[in-house]
Amino acid sequence: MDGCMDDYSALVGFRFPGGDYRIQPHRHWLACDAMGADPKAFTDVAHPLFAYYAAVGGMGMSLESLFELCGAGPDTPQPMLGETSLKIDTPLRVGETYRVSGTIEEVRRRSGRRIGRMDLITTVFVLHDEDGGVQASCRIVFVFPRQTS
Amino acid sequence: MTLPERRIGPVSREKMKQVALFLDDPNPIHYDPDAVRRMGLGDKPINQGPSGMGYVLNMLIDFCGRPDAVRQFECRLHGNVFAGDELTAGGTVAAVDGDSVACDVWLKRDLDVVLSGTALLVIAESDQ
Repeated sequence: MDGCMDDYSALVGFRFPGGDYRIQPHRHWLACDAMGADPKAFTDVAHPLFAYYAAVGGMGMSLESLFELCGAGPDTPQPMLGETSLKIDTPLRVGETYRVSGTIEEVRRRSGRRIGRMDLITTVFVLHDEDGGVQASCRIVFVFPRQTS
Repeated sequence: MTLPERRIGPVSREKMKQVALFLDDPNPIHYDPDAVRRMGLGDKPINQGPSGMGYVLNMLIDFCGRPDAVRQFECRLHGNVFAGDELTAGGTVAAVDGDSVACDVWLKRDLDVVLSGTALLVIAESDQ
């Protein structure tokens, strides 16, 4: 797909299906191991990066589907992570389940020397406890390079 | 005040595969060197962005001694990290307000800053 002239601004306001994400102990262990943290150092409180992992894991669609929605696929330049903000109101717990909701907040078209034309697509996710209280939030800006021919 | 640095690496391509499975990330640049070559990005798998965030968060957890102290973290990624890279995570304390400590943080490969950002730590009693 050639997304060079497509306008993705219509994605603003898109609501992710959302869903539940449980910080399963074995997934937490493996994630810590993969990022060089000692899994045994986390007895109850989860690694703060799980504000990101829970958002992506609980958004209700795969990354592949999100990328496709935003115009990226196997035959296009691959999206990249541009910026991330995590806000943890209450430390996340290993073994707990969080309800995830999210939207696409902003689409900005930019041009850069290295990447050329690109869309910066900002997604915002909120992690709730079972009573609906906000526990954490995560803002992710994905960079989608756009083909020019 | 400078935060104690944390050394990372060499970045493992096997861990990248683990993260790709964990995130169900379809991007082949994280596991297929041929895909990286086709895209003109070099010849080594490219590390996932969240892993770079994790390295910096680990440095902050080391500094605080607890994971629950990290309450805010914002970062921008400036460049790719490749399999085999050796990195350093570090930062400085920018401000202290009661129990809250604001930090500037970074992740570097030699002198290249591949990630920079800020963090807010709350150094208070832990219930962990």
